[in-house]
Amino acid sequence: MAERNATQIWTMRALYAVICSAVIMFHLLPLGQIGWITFSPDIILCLTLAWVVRRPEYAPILLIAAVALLADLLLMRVPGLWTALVLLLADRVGRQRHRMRSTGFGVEWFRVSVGIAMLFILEHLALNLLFVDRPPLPASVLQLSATLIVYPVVVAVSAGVFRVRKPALIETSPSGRRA
Amino acid sequence: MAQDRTNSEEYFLPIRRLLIGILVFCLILLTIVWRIDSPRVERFRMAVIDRVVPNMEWAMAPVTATMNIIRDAQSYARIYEQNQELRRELQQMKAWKEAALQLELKNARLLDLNNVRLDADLTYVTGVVLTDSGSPFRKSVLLNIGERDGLRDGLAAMDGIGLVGRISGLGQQTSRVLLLTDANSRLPITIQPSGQTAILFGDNSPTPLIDFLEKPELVRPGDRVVTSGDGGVFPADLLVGQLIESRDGRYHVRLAADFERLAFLRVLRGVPKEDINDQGDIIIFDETVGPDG
Repeated sequence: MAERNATQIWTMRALYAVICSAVIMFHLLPLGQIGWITFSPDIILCLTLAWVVRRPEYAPILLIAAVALLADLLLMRVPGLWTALVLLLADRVGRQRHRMRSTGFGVEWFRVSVGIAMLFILEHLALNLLFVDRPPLPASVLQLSATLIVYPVVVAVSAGVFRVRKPALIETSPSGRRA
Repeated sequence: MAQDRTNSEEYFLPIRRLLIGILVFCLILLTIVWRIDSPRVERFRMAVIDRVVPNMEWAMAPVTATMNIIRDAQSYARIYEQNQELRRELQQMKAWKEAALQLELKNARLLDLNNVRLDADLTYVTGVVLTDSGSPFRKSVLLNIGERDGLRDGLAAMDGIGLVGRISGLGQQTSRVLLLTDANSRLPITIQPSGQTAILFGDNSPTPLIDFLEKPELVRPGDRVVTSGDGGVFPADLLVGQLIESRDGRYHVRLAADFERLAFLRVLRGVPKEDINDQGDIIIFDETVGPDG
């Protein structure tokens, strides 16, 4: 039982890495001016938070950091800033997940939305502090809204397709402790 | 709370907090280093892209092909008109081809007469566009030719017809081309036939803005816009596009190159220019001459 769980964990971690790489690749496709519309949602962020709330062992922090840093470098963003913010939010959401276990999805969506909004605001502030050229504010707000709307979709797909669901109350984690 | 302690998984031990603290600190440090010494971090970014992206190419190819098919499907609706349009254009092209051949012949004879050597500035390397920039606010593309093909930062890139951008970022086997439409792109131009110089500012739209035009009354929409070669940054007389006037009276350029379908780009090789790496010392120290002269 323990062995199957260990293989399963590493498979899911690999799956997380593959999905995030696929998302990055879609952003890089050479489609000319059409490319990706201005307010494309941040799917990697949604995926990370959805998995951290449900099964944090499938998205360990080193893997999150590696994927987010790769995304930062490949997608021509300011390297390191978004990754640091994502790590902090993922940790905070992960620690709060016990409180979200018994309440419905609505509360989870609300808490995650507040977290993501804080992320966007902090990023905007930091970029202003560093005097970096920013895309205009309405575009960022649109991107934030798109990300929040996409979050339930990502959760549904994770639960349905990838079977990343909250562990039942009697389930144990791989080392035998109560989850 | 005691309850939380017994229930929490091993994944949330204090060591995790420490690890996250260290990671966040290193990442913020990376951001500050990027702000202070941008070229070094950008070179690191290009090195990462250089290693990662060519490996992704095989995976992106089928998706790119599918997307192109979907985009072409939209034009299938107008197939008949397109056919007529293309036939007309083909007739015109045939006439131009004849004229070009005659001129080429004449040119070769005259050059031969004068024993002229063509400038190395006019040779080029051709590369394939691998990816877009990945962000809707940074207009750039990645080419599959890099330092090992003899490229350097700042070289001009054209597609078959007009200027597309400049090389800004080099890896061993890839390089990044900053497009004319990017917000950071500035290009010195000349407007024919009045011969006025101006600057072309990219502004993230398909038609970049013209500014610093001294006598706007001398230019008309439809005028040819070419590079001026000012500052020795780009070769002169490369076709950029046509002048157009927007509704609020400002002048833009409709670019001659087809930015929707960038597939093959030519990078114009130039003569190596001096690299200015230091601050510009006031006292020039001649190392070959000792203190005694």
